[in-house]
Amino acid sequence: MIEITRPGKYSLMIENPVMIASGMMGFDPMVYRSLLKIEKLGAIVTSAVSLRPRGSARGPRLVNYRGGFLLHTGLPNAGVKRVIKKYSPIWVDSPVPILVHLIASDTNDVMYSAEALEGAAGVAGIELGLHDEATPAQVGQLIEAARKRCQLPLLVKLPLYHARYLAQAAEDAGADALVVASPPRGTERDAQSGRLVGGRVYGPWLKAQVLRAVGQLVPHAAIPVIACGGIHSADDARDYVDAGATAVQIDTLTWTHPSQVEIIARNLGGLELTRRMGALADEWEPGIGKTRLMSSYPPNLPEFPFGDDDTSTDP
Amino acid sequence: MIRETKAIIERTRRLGAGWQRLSLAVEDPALEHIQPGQTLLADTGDYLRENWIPVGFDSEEGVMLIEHPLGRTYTPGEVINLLGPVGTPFQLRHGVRHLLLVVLDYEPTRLLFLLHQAIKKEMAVTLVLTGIAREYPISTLPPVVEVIIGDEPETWPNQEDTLTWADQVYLLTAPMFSEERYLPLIYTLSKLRPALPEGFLQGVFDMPMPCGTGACAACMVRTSNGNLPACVDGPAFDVTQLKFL
Ligand code: FES
Repeated sequence: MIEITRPGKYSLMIENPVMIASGMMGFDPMVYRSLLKIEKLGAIVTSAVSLRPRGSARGPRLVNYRGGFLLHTGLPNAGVKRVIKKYSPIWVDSPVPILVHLIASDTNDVMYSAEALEGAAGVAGIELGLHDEATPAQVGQLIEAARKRCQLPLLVKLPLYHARYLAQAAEDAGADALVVASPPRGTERDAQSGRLVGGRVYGPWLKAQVLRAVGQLVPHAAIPVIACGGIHSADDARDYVDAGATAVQIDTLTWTHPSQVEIIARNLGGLELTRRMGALADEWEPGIGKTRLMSSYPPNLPEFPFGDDDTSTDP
Repeated sequence: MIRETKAIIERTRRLGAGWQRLSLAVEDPALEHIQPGQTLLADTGDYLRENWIPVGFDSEEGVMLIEHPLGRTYTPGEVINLLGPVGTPFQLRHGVRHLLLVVLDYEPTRLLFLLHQAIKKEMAVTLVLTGIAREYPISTLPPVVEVIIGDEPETWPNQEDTLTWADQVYLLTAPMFSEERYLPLIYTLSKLRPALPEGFLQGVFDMPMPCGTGACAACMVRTSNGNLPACVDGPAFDVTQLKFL
C-alpha cells in the first residue's frame, strides 16, 4: 500500500501509484469498465463539483492543435448535493478509492461542499482545485474552510505556474498532499468559428514542465507530492516517481488511449512491489526506463534537471 | 458499451470530387450492430480522435462503410484503432412513413446511415441539402430519395410543404449555428402544427468528441433536462427541449 497523504488521522492508502486525474472519467468511472480494468488503478478523482450547479460554457469549447488541445467546459455539474445523490451509490461499489474534485471558489462554498462530502458514502477524499490567481493567504483560508467540518483526506491541486509559490501555504494550512499540477491556461483560435477561445491546454508537452515543477517542489515538501500532467507512457510515469512523486495522475491519455492507462498502472504497480521487496526493478515491459545511451552515459557529469542553475536565456 | 478495438481498411473509394468512402473490416463483432446515430472515434494520428461516421454495412463483403470529405488519404491494409460505439441510436417515432432529413450548410454524413436504413424499411425519404451540403455527390444516393437543394443556407424550396408532409424531421447543421437555424424552424412548424408531437423535430449535434464517454464535458448540449453530453445522450435531441437561451 502507498500512503499518498501525510500520516495521521486523514491518511489515505492506495494499492497502486497510478491515479486518474480529475475530470478524466467524469462522475461515473464505471463507464470505463469496458475500456480498462479499473481495479488495476490506485484511485480516481472525479470531475469538478461546486456547491451550486454550474452550466456548461457557451460557444466553442474545444480547439485542436498540433500536439494537443485546448478545452474550456465551464466545469458543468449539478451541484454537490445532487452529484452525491446520483453518484454516491456508484462510488460505494468502486473497487478503488474515489476522490471528489472540489472547486475552490470561496470559503463558504468550500466549507459547505466539504461538509456534504464528509457525510457521503463512497467518498475517500477531496481534491481541492485552486484557481490560477489564488494567493497564499487565500489558499490558507480555503483549506481551513474545507477542514472546518470535514475530516476526509484533503489533497490540494496547485496551478502549474504558481505551484512553488502556493505549496508552502497549502502545506502549512493542513493539506494532506499536493497535486502538481492543474494544466495552464492558453488561448487558441477555433478554426470553425474563427474566434479566439481561452481554456486549459493539454498534451504530452505538459510533462516536461510538470516534471520540472515536481522536481523543484519535492525537496521542500513535507507532505506527499502527486504528479499530474502529460503522462503518455510508463516511462513518463516513472520519471515522475524518480523525481520524488509519491503517485501520479493520468490525464488525457484516459480519453485518447484508455487501454494504455491500464498498462501504465500494471507497470508502476510492478515497480512499487519490487521496490518494497528490495528486489530488482520490475521490467514489466522490456526496455522500460532505459535508453539505448544510458549505459554509455558518463557517470560523473553534473546534472541539474530541476534547478535554476542555468541562467542563460538561450534555449 | 464503448470498447477499444481495431479495424483494417479494406478499400478506399472516391465519391465525387470531394468525398471518400472507406470499407472497414472491424475486429469486434459487436460493432456490426452499430446503429444510425452512433459513431466511432478513430485514432488517425492527431492527438485527439476523429469522429468516424458509419453510413452503412456492405453485408456481402462484411465491411462497415465510413464516409469522409477528402483530406487525409488512407491506404488499404492500414490498421485503425477505434473506440466505440459512441452515442445513442436515432429513435424513429412509431409509425413513421415520411422522413424528412434536413442538412443546413453542413456535411450530411451524420444522417446517411439513417437515410439508407429508412429506405430499406420502405419509408419515403426527402433529403434537403443547403450551403456546403450541396457539394455531397447525390448521384451515390438511392434514386428513390427525393433530394431538394436549397440556395440559401437556412431555408429551402417548398419548406412548408415538406414540413407538413413529414412524420418526423431530423435537422443537422454546425453546432454553433444550431440556435439561429433551428429556432426559425420551430416557429414555422408551430404555425403548421399546433401541437408538435414529442420527438417529431430532432436536432443532431455533430461535435468533436475527446472522450466519447460523457467525461470531458466538451460536447454538452443544454436541454430542459440539464446539460447532456451529445456523445452519450445524443447526438439527436428533441429540438423543443433544447435550451438555446
Ligand atoms: S466527448 Fe467528452 S463528454 Fe462527450
